[in-house]
Amino acid sequence: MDVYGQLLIAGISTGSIYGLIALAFLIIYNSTQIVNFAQGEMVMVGAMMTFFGLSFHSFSYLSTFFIVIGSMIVIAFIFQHVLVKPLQKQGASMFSIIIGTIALGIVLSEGMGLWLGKQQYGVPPIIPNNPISLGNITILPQNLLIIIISWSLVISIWYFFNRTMTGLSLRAVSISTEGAQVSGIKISRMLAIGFTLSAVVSGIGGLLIAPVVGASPYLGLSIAVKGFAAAILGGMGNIYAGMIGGIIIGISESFFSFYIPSYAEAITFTIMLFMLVVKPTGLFPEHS
Amino acid sequence: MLLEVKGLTKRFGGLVAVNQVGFSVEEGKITALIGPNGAGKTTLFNCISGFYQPNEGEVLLNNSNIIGQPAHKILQKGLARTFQLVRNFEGMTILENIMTAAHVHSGQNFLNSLLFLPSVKKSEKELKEKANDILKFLNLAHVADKYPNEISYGQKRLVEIGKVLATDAKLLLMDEPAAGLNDSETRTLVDTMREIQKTGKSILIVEHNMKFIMELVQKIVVLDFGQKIAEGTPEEIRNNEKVIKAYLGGGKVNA
Amino acid sequence: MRKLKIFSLILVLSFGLLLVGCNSSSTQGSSGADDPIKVGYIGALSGGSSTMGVPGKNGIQLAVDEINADGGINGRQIELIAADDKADPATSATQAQKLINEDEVVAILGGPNSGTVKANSEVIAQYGVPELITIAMNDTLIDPNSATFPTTFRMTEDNSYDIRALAEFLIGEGHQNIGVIADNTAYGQSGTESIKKILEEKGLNVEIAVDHPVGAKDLTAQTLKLREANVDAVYVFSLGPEGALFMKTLKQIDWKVPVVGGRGLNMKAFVDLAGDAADGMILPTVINPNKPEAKEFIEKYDEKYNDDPTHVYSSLGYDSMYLLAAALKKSDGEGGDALIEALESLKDIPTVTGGMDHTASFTDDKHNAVNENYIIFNQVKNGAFEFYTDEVESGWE
Ligand SMILES: Nc1ncnc2c1ncn2[C@@H]1O[C@H](COP(=O)(O)OP(=O)(O)O)[C@@H](O)[C@H]1O
Ligand SMILES: [Mg+2]
Repeated sequence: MDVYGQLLIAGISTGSIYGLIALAFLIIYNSTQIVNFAQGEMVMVGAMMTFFGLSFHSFSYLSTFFIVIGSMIVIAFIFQHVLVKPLQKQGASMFSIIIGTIALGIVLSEGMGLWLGKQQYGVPPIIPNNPISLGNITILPQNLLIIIISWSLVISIWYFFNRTMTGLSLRAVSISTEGAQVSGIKISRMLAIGFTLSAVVSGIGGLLIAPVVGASPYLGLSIAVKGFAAAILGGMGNIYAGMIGGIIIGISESFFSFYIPSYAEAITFTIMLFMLVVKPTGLFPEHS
Repeated sequence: MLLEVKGLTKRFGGLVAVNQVGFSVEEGKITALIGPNGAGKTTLFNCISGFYQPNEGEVLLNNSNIIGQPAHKILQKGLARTFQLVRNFEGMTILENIMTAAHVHSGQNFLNSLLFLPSVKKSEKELKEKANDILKFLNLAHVADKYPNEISYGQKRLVEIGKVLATDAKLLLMDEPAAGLNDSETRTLVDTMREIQKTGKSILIVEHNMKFIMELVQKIVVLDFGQKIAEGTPEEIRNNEKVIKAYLGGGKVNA
Repeated sequence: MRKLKIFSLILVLSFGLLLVGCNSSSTQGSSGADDPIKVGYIGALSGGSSTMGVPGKNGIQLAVDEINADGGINGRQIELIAADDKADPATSATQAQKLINEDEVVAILGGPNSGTVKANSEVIAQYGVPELITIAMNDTLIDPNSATFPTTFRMTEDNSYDIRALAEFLIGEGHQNIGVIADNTAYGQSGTESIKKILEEKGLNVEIAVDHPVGAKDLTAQTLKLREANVDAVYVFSLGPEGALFMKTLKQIDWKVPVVGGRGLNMKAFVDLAGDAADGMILPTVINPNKPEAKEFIEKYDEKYNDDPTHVYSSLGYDSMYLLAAALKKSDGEGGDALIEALESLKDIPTVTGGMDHTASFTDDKHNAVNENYIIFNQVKNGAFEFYTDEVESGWE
C-alpha cells in the first residue's frame, strides 16, 4: 500500500511547485492580461540567487532568502518600468508586450549566465536529507517544506486578494481599469504590487526548487512549461486554481511514471491539450 | 466657482470632438450637460476628470488648474466621475465594490496590509462602516453581500454612484446615470440625486432624458458638434432657438 | 520615451551579447615558420555541460602554457583557439568549419558531448584534419576504418570500457540482479543498451531499466519500480541533478541498495545536490590522487583554476594536449596527413590520468589512447568524492 502513498506524496510535492509557478503567472495574467513568458526565468533568477547566496558566498538561508526577495523586487521593478509601462505609453499592443516578456526572459538568462556562469550548479537542501515518516510513507524534509510553503503562499495570497483592501483594489484594477480609476485607485501603484507579488512568489519557487534540480541560467523553460500547464488545467481566470491544476499534473505524472513509464509526460500534456479543446476555461473558471 | 472650464479643445486626428468649450459649475448646484449623440459630452468629461489630455484649455478646480494630472490625483482633490456604461467589479460583493472606492483615502499601503498590522484592521473596520452607511443611504443595504450579477440593472447604476460617494469627492460627474433605467428606477434616481445634493455635494450630469433634467437641475450647458451653443437655466434653454434647432436637426428633442 | 530607448538599448545589447557568444575569440593570419601553431578546441563553454567543457579547456590551456614555456613545438609556440558549441551539434559543426577555414588550425580537440563531437568530427574528417576527443565517451565515435571519421582520435576511455570495469566490480561484490536508471535522451538510452549488453555478457542479469526526462523534479515512481524488481544493485547512468535526486529518493524510502554510477556524475553539482544521500556510491574516475604525476597536476590546476573538484575533465584536457604536442613535435608542426601519421605512431606516452603506470598509445588501428588498467574507483563520502581503489580490472575487450 505504501507505493500508492509514496507516489501520491511525490505528486503532491512536485505539483505544489507547478502550482506555485502557476500562481505567480496568474497573478500577472489576471491583473494585466499579460502572458508573462519570462515566468520561468523569474523562477530561474530565484534559483540562481539561492546558489549565489548559499554556495557562492556561504550565507545563511535567512540572508539568502532576503537576497532572493530583494532581487525579485528589482526584477518586478524592471518588469513594470522598463518593459510594460514604456510599451503601454507608446500604445503598444498586448502582443508586443508579450513578445517583450520573451525578450526579458532571454535577457535574464543571458545576464545571469554572464554574471554567475552558465553552468549547472548544485544547491544543498535547506534541511538535511533525513526522511520524515508519515504513517507508512516517508518524505524528505525539503519536499515537505515545498508543500507547506507553497500552500501557505496560496492561502496568504487568497487572504490578501479577498480580505485586505489593497488586495481588493488590485482585483478591482484587473476587473476594470477604468472602474478602478473612478474609485481613485492608483493603477500604477497597484500594478507594482501585483508584479512584486508575482516576482516574489516566483523567487520563492526558485529558492524551493534549487535544491531539487540545481541552478542554471537555462532552467526557466522546463519549469515554466509545467507552470503554464497547471494554469491552463486549473483555469486561467482563477488565480488559485493553478494550484489544483499543478497537483493534478504532479500526481498524474507520478502515477503514470510508475504504471506507463516513458509516456508519463506525453500523457500529461495530452490531458492538457484535451482540456484546452474541451473546456478552455479550465476546471475551475472564475467565480462570479 | 467650484469648477471652471476655459477654452477646452480635444481633437482626435482631424476630428475636433470638443471645440473651445468654456462653462462653470457652482458649488452645491446640479448642472447638466446636454447635446445630441456625438456632441462631445463624454469626451469633455474625460478631459475634465483626467482620462484624456485636452489639446488646449484649462480646467480649474477650486481655482487651481488640474490639466495634466492623473485621474487618481484629481479624485483626491475632490472630483469623481461615473461612466456611461456600468463598471461594477464583477466577482466582488457590492459591499467590497464600495469599500474599494472608499479605500482611496486610507493610504493603500501594501506592506501594512501584508503585515496584518492592527491599524490596518481598524481602518478596514471603519471602511466597512462607511461603505455600509453609503449602501443604507442608497437603499442597497439588503444587497451588500450579493455580487453584481445578482442585482438589477438599476441597482448596479446606484452602486456606481455609491462608489463615487465613497471617494468623498465634492464634485460628482455622472455620465448618463439614467440610461437604460425604467420609469420607477428613474424616479428613485432623481430622489437619490436630490438627497446627494442635500449633503452639500455638487453634480455635473450628462443626461438625455429631458424630463429628468428639467425637474432636477439648476443650470444647463448645451453642446453641439463639440461647441457650446447655449448655457442657462432650464427655462432659458427650453426657449433657446439654437437649442431647438440643434435638436430638431438631430431628430428628436430628447435625442 | 526615454525609458523605451533604454529598453531597446538593453534588448539590442543582449542580442549583441548572444551573437558575440557565437563568434568566440578568433584571430586570423596565415602560418609561417615562426608563427604560432594553432590548435582548436570545440566544447560546451556554456550550458549544463560547461561543468565539463570549461575545465577541459582550462586543462588544455595549462598544458599549452607549460609546453610554450618549455620551448614550444621545436621552437614554435602553440596558440589555443577555443569555440563554444553550447552542446549543440549544429553549432559545433559550424565552429569546426570556422576553425579550419578561418583560423587554419592544424588539429582540433573535441569536447565533452558525444552528440556534438559526432557532428563536428564528420566535418573535420572531410578536411583531413585530425581531431583528438578529450572527454566524450560514446562507443561509436572512434573507428579508424570507417569512412565517416577516419581522422578522429580519443584520449579518454569509452562507455563500454567503464561498464566492463563496473561489471567486474559488481561481480566481485557478489551482485547478480542489477537495475539501471538513465535519462530518456539518446545519451541515456544508448548507455542503457550498452550496460544491458555488457552486463549480460559478463553473466549478470539486468532485471529492469527505468528512464526519466532530463530536468525531472521527482523520481519516486522510478525508484519504487526498481525496488519492486528486487535488484541487488543499481547502476545510475543519469547525469548530475537527476542522479542526485535518485540518491535522495533512495534515502527517503530507506532502501539501502548498493549503487554504482556513470563517470558523468563526477561533478560538484551532483554532490552539492545529493548532500549526504550519495554516500557509499561507487563511481569510475580517471585520476588517482595517490599517483605522483596526478598529484602534481591537481596542485598546479587548482592553483590556477580550481573549478573541477574531481579533476576528471581538466586532467583529460591536459593529457590530450600533451599527446597532441608529442605528435606535433614528430610532424614538426605540420598538420594533415603528417600529423595523423605522427599521432598513429605515438607509443607509451605517460599520462596524469589512469592507473599508476598507465601510458597512452595509438596505432593506425587503434585511435583510443587508453590502455589497460586505466580506471580508478571513487566513493562518495560525506558529500565529497574520495579515492576508493585503483585495484580495478579494466581494459579493452
Ligand atoms: N477615443 C476616441 N478616438 C476617436 N474619436 C473619438 C474618441 N472618443 C470619442 N470620439 C469621437 O468624438 C466625438 C464625440 O464623442 P463623445 O464625446 O462620445 O460624444 P457624446 O458623449 O456627446 O455622445 C464623436 O464623433 C466620437 O466618435
Ligand atoms: Mg457619451
